[in-house]
Amino acid sequence: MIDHTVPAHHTFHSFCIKPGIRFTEQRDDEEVILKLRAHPITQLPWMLNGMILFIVLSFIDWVFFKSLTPDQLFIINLLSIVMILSYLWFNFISYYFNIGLVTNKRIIDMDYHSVMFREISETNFDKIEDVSALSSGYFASLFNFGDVFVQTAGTIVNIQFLKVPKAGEVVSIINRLAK
Amino acid sequence: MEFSELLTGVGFIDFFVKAFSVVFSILYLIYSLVILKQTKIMVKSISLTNSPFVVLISRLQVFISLILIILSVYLI
Repeated sequence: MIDHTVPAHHTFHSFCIKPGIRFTEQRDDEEVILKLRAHPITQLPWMLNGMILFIVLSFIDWVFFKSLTPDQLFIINLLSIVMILSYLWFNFISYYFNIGLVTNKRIIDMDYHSVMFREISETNFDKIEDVSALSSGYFASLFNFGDVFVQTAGTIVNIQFLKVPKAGEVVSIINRLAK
Repeated sequence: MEFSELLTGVGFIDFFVKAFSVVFSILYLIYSLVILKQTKIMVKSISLTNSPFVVLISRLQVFISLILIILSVYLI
């Protein structure tokens, strides 16, 4: 069992205890206990896509090498590289800013859908009905990540932390804080 | 490139590459400005360790898009 009173960073800063960060809606007597992000291994598909796009680009270069002037080839390569790097950067930002926070007062889920749309859901500990973790699949078992579901009473929105590392520990920490 | 060359198809590739690169560069500038603005909003809402670096990269993106416009207009 992980001690939630000692600051620690696990799994490439995707599971941080007492990370010492602040957010806009933070109250004066509120302290962030846990900061969660998706497990880095779940970001592998877009990284692989980027690599594949670079390989495709070099293949296109080889095909059109003789039919374009050096200036044209240079500008097309530059545009393509910029496009691929932007794709990677866009995905990184989406990963970096989609975080879940557990404070000593409440649970907050910050989501940025396609970077453009911001969605923040939060619930106080006294509104929590049930906390559960679901870990399914080969990769989830191998790298120890899963989904955490926080069910709340009535019409208040439920909170989900998807593909976070040590999902079981997250549930345990939330339960300890909720007592 | 003369307009007559374009009509006869001789300068079509030159025209296509030029038009594509100029339009793409302008669209990329708009995109990078939007990303920069959104990044600043995100950084303001939560202070993470590497936030200044994230903003720096987003600014770099705008700078690169300006270079792309200049290159696509004057180089080819």
